[in-house]
Amino acid sequence: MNINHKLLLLLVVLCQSCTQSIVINTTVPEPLVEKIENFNLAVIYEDNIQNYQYENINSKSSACCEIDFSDSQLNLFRKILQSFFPGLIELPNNNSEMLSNVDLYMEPQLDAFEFLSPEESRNDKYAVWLKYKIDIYDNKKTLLSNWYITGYGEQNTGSFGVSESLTKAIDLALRDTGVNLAIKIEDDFDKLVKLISTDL
Amino acid sequence: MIHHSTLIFFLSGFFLIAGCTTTRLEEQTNLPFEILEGESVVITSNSYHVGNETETDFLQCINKSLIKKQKTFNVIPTQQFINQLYPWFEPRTAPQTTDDLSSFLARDLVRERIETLDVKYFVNISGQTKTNSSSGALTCAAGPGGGGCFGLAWWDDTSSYSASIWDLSKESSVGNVSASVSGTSVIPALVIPIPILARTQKTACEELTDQILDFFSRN
Repeated sequence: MNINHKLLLLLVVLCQSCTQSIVINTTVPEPLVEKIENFNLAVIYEDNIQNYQYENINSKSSACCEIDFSDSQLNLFRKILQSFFPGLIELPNNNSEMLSNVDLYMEPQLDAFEFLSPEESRNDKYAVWLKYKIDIYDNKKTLLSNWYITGYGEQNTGSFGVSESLTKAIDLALRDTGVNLAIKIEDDFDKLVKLISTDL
Repeated sequence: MIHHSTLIFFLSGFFLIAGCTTTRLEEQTNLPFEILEGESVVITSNSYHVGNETETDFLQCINKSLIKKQKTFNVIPTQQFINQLYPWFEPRTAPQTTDDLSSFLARDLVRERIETLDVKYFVNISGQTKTNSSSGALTCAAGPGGGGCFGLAWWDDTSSYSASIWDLSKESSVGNVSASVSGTSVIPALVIPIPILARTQKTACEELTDQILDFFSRN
């Protein structure tokens, strides 16, 4: 191996060690909500809820590049929806069959994920935004409504490391999504039930 | 002997300069209050949604310090309480003023959980540590023969925090305490930089904890 090859190998190794990779393992606590009994909800999670991986090679951020959400989003939606609907049914996302015992179908998908690093926002915080679109269908698979649920989290860099601050900001944004989803279900679920009733 | 004198001189200088902070404490009582043995308090802070900048590590310091310094009442760690009340004590949903307490406690499940945990007071912390001014110059250089730094840099920090004690049964603030600590940190460097830091935030944490304990001991 000549000197050029050695230098090239060293450059590749150095560049790889620069790539930041963050794995999100958010777990939300058991929500303190009233259960909605005698209602059968089926949920179909889009791929970007089940295992979303963010990659940004152009960002100025020192904590950018690769963020693996693993099953954090899936666990969040499961935890919130199961706490409201004890008989929640999960269906695979290629499901086309209509089940007789289901009253409503929900199809959540990640619509947008954005973050600002301290370098970009010129302060000492990471700020994270999440936006989800939830399509809601009746038991004949007619679209009833679209819900847009957002989540926001921010974390000072302070005594935390760069990737730890970003991880905490994402953790807060996911928890905030859970808050907004819970509020939306409490506020708007009755309207959906009325829509089904008028449909009949 | 000369070595010992030099060491004592440097250590004395270090503690004199490091201890060079100014503290200002204030207290105000609005309503009569009482905390009984076994009742609980929770350290809270306003949300970043309303522009609050109180550092997470300061809240952790107050939690630890209150748990360590007394055994009369329980201190439920903030994050543990937030998790117990999810999703109603998150940055978006937690009460930001005493006016929000009635709607917060209007939820049956929230009220029941708070009763189960026997929480009587929220201690709402606000404030932050700021660097007011910095001056001086410090340069470092390294070469094949070695390296070193030369110069003098200093800056002033102010850690200003207040705690408002919210009575959950009265849905109002029964009093406030505050601590403001200012100090100057210095880094002199003659080959090796020696940081002499004024630990204003740590001092403010200890002072505010003592103020809170003093407040509760007066019932």
